[in-house]
Amino acid sequence: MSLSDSQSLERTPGRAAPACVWRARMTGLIAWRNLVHDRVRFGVTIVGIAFATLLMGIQLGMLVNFMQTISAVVDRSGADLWIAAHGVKTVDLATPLEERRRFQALSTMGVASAEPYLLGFGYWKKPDGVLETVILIGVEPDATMGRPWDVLDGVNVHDALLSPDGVIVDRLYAAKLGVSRVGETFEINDRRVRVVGFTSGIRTFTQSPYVFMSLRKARSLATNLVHGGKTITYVPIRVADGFSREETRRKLAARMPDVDVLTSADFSGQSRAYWLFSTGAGVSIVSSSLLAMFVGVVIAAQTLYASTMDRLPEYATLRAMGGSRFYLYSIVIQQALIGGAIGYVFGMSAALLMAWAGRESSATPEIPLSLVLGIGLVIEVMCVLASLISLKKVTSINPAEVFR
Amino acid sequence: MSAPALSIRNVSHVFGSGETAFTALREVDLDVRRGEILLLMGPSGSGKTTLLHILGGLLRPTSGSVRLNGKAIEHLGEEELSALRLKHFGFILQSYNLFPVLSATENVLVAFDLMRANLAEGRVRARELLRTVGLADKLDAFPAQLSGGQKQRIAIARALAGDPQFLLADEPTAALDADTGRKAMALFARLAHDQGRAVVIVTHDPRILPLADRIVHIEDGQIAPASDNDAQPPVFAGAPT
Repeated sequence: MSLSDSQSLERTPGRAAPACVWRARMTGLIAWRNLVHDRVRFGVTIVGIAFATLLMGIQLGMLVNFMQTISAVVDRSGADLWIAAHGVKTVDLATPLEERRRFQALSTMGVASAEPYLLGFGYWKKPDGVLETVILIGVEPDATMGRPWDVLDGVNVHDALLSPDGVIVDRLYAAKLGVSRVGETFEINDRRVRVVGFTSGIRTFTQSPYVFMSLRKARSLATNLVHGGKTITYVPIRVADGFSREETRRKLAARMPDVDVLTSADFSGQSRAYWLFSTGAGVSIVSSSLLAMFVGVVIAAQTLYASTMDRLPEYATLRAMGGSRFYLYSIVIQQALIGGAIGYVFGMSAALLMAWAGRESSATPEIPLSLVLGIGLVIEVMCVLASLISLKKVTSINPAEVFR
Repeated sequence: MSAPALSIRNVSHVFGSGETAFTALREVDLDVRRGEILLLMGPSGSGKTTLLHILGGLLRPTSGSVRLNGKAIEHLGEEELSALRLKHFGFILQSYNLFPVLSATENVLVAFDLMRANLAEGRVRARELLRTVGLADKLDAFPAQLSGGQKQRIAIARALAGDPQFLLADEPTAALDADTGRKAMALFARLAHDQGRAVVIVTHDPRILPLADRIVHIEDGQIAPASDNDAQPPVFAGAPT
């Protein structure tokens, strides 16, 4: 030990730097080193947070998928309003409606167009004789609302629906229905149909595939629905330019008090609410997401607390040296944020990978950018919450303890 | 010897309350001057550590006054005391309390960080300080790779980073062998005598006695009668000057 250069000890502290840059670098370094110092604990933290992220990603992704799927035929219909039989709960569980409702709608001020729409269940017979339940959707070949969307291979929907026995099914369900190519014939309710086109990515919540066809064909197949002059199930409506949707809806409802007149948004929401909350499916998904978050909080809190306890003498030393509480907080919080970010990256990557791997399946998580960012935010908030117990401990540090 | 830079008057401190109350210090008067090495000695539980806490702004006395450069500090809040410690005090602890996850340079750098110094300049200064205490070849070593004496030197470099007016040390030689302890004390002597810092040391180590400018004995929370205090022991043979 020497003190040959005694002058070098006589100094004043260096020039002050912008606090945000400098402080972030040292407290961030301490936080990072604290985090990775104990590899096992670090691994447990990351796995816990990644697991929570993965579960939330998959569960909420499935929720998004279900929400999009349940109401897709309404959301993608292009209609502003819908007329349905009184008491309709969800779009897939349609009940018969007289077609005269369409004409009543057309004679109402503000209605630009009103078209017939039929939705019902049928039995699709596969080549091996096995029956699959399908949802039939019948629209006029020249319909402007409710037509199939994302049609593959440039198939003209108008021409396809005009062709004899022509039906359009989705690629995702081709295997389930035993369809391998366009032109194959099958039976629905013992009547012949011919596949004339495919759509891409039109999923169903019930896993009974949608089969698009002409209204005429649908009426001939859905014999259980069509009776007593009730030859359709819905009337999708487009409101004329310059007219309010809500005002037009009120006019239609006033004119036809014995049916339901809904905006597309309301019908969509009502359909989602029915499946997600009346059946408990949504509650189950949301509660499992919350459970995942809780597991993540507990794991992160436990490991952060253990790490903080290990470092109490050093934190007390920092306090004794003149470090503010905020300085200590910033170490603990950054530790939580860094751990959260790493776990999140692993967990979200796994969730996105799983979603990508399942993109061709009929039920796969939909993880849009908003959900990716939203879960990231939730995970970081969760980790900061998990650090609260540690912060409480740090707050109570007595700097004098360093001398004991 | 210069005028007192730190002085306490009628300082008492009581831990707890009611039947469990324990009086650690009773009406103590003490001055600490620049450029001196002051030893606080006494049996365990005598109150010397409590006195060190009060001198260093780590503890507010139950009664009495503490003046730093003429200004009363006994009523300051926790964060104000913290800022005061950062500006005026350096602490050297028996157990070093280094961050095991940081290298020698980074451990010293933390002190510059607390002062919001520039990163690049702080790093240069941290390395300078480490070279000065004889750790030129251990700048990037981690505490686990160093001996007790080397860790002590990092702690000293860290304590000096803020250019403190006062260095407060708690049993700084307890974990060091004779030779390393002697060198550490020589360093303290230089810091006090050459640079005018006040060095207050709590110790049981008799090897330190020859370097002290003044020794204060504490017993039962009070400064013992003057016979042993304010002594000027001779500088021991091995101490560099």
